[in-house]
Amino acid sequence: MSNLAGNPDISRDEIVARLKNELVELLALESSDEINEDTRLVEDLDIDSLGMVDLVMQVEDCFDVVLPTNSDLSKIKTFRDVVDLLCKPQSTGLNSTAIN
Amino acid sequence: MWPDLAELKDLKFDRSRVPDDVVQFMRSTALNEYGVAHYVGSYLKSYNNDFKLRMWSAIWAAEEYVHYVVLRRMLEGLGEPLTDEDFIGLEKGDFVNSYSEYFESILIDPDIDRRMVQLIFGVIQEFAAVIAYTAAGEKCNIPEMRALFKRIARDETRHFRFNQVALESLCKSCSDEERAMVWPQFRAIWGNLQMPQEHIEYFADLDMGTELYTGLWSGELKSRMILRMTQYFKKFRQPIAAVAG
Repeated sequence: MSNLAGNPDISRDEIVARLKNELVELLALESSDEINEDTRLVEDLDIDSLGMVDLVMQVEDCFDVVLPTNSDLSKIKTFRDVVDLLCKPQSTGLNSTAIN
Repeated sequence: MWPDLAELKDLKFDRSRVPDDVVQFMRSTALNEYGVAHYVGSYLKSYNNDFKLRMWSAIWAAEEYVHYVVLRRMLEGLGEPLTDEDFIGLEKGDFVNSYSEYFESILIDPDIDRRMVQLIFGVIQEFAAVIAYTAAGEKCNIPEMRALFKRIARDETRHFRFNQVALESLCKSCSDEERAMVWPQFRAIWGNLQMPQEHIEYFADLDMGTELYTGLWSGELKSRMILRMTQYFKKFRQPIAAVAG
């Protein structure tokens, strides 16, 4: 499995692009233009508790990672926070050994 | 397990060291554990002619009843005893029909094996109980009480694991089509999660339905629930060999 935190082959831009595609599919959006870094998951994308389950599943499958169970999803408010969760594990409680 | 409940007689705890919301949780969850006589009926119905799962239901019910006894004694030790009046509303009501109606409404396929649905529900319900008792223990400032909460949480962990093991075992003997129903059935339950106590008017009147378990949860505990459940159930989208691993 890949380790995003230590994988220089995946740029932040690529993570953003792939994540947008996943959300477009998951939420049946018309295009990824509806999502920017400040887009709020709950207020703007209407992601509820069930949506969060789907989002976790999509993110883990798409990036071949396992989010550690001590991740605090309540701190994930925006699209940027999701990207950061994958890019900056230390700042979100996601440690590099946990993504494996 | 609880080999000797005699050790829990005449407990004395300093009420001022226990937050009000923990005491409230204890009162409602003690009654909820007592409500197991209602809940086991729905288990037995789902497990129909499966003797082993029916046996498990009987054992499970007895263990949850012990939790009621323990919690009741803890409440007495705090000077917050339950009274006979607290039980009147709980014992009333048509739980079986109300819950059955809900249970049938969340089925993704009318022909799905009810055992599978009940076990999926059991995994969610028992893990919610693990988190709830863990949260109560963490908020409690009395080591002896904390130890008791931990002990109950340990039982609930075992119940949670039993449901997982039984679900995996059931999936080994079912078709690919049936196994493929686990993930969407989990989503259907999660999207309309109603704990059994939601179907007892007494709890609904006191606003102690599903909130009874989730009220004490921090954001981190809610996250843990979502992550653990997602990571567990999504495995069933793969062949059974991968699930067992």
